[in-house]
Amino acid sequence: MNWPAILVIFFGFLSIVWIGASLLRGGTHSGSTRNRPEEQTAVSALRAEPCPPDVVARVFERGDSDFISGQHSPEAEQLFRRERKRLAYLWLRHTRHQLASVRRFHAGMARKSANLNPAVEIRIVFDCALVSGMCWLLAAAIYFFGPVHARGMARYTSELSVRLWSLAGKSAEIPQSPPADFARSGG
Amino acid sequence: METRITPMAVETAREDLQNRTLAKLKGNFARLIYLASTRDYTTGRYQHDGLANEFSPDAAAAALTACHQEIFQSLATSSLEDLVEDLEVYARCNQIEMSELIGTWEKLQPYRITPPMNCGPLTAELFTSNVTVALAILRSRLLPRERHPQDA
Repeated sequence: MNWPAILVIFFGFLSIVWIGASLLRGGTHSGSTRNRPEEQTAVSALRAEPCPPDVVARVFERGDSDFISGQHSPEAEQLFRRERKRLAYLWLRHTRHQLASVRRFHAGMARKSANLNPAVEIRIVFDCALVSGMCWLLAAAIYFFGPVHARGMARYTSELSVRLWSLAGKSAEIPQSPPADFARSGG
Repeated sequence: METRITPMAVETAREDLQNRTLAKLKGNFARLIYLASTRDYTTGRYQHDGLANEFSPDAAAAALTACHQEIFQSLATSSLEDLVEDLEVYARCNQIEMSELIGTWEKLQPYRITPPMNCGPLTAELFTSNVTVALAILRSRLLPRERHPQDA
């Protein structure tokens, strides 16, 4: 059995446990969400968009690595590799921060609202778990192999975090623009 | 009284800026530096007297903002090879010695204040990182010439 399948099964199990715990805590009564300060903070946190996928792709791009290798400058190459690792970790940190915001928001919404769409909520929980797992894997891959060799995983994680952000925003009925909108870009 | 700016006015101002000013500058780096220089570093507001007189201060500011964002985004996501080339074009067109440009930019890092205000943190970091690496590449290209000037 390959590692992606193991990962999916493991995080799927965690998701089911999490949903069960949320349901046991109870989340029904008045129907409309109250505007408590922590909910307003979580809602505004959702406005921090994921980094634009084209910027993320550039960080993990192979072309720049090939170009720098062809320059025959060990100093420049060392600087480049160090910088790209730093940028990759910066993106991971941003993604984790965003993930934490989505989790906080939905933990609050699940407690307060009776009008949740179970399919969407399950999807959000699952995607959160998946992104979290991918972030850990990416951190290890970047450390041991460098950003270039993790570009496939990075692309997948980036697309997933954009989807998660979209889902979370729709669930909260927050008007959104695509992450490529430069004016509010988180990237 | 608040003046409303229409998208049409902004688009016209933008076209004017691109055709009459930006088109005369060679390379995106020159355009970026020019656009960043029109920004007041106290208020963050863009100012261009000619454009403001012809359209309106708000339309001019909106056009400058849009052009700045577009050019910055293009540079930030360009390849390292293209960025190195752009820097060479910038130095050549401004008749600056490459060694002088490298030395000054490595010390002062003026490119760090060229990103637009609404730029995302990763995009800004990618740009400044790439410029730092590009300068290192250009410095390495100078070294053989400096060591053996008779071979140049």
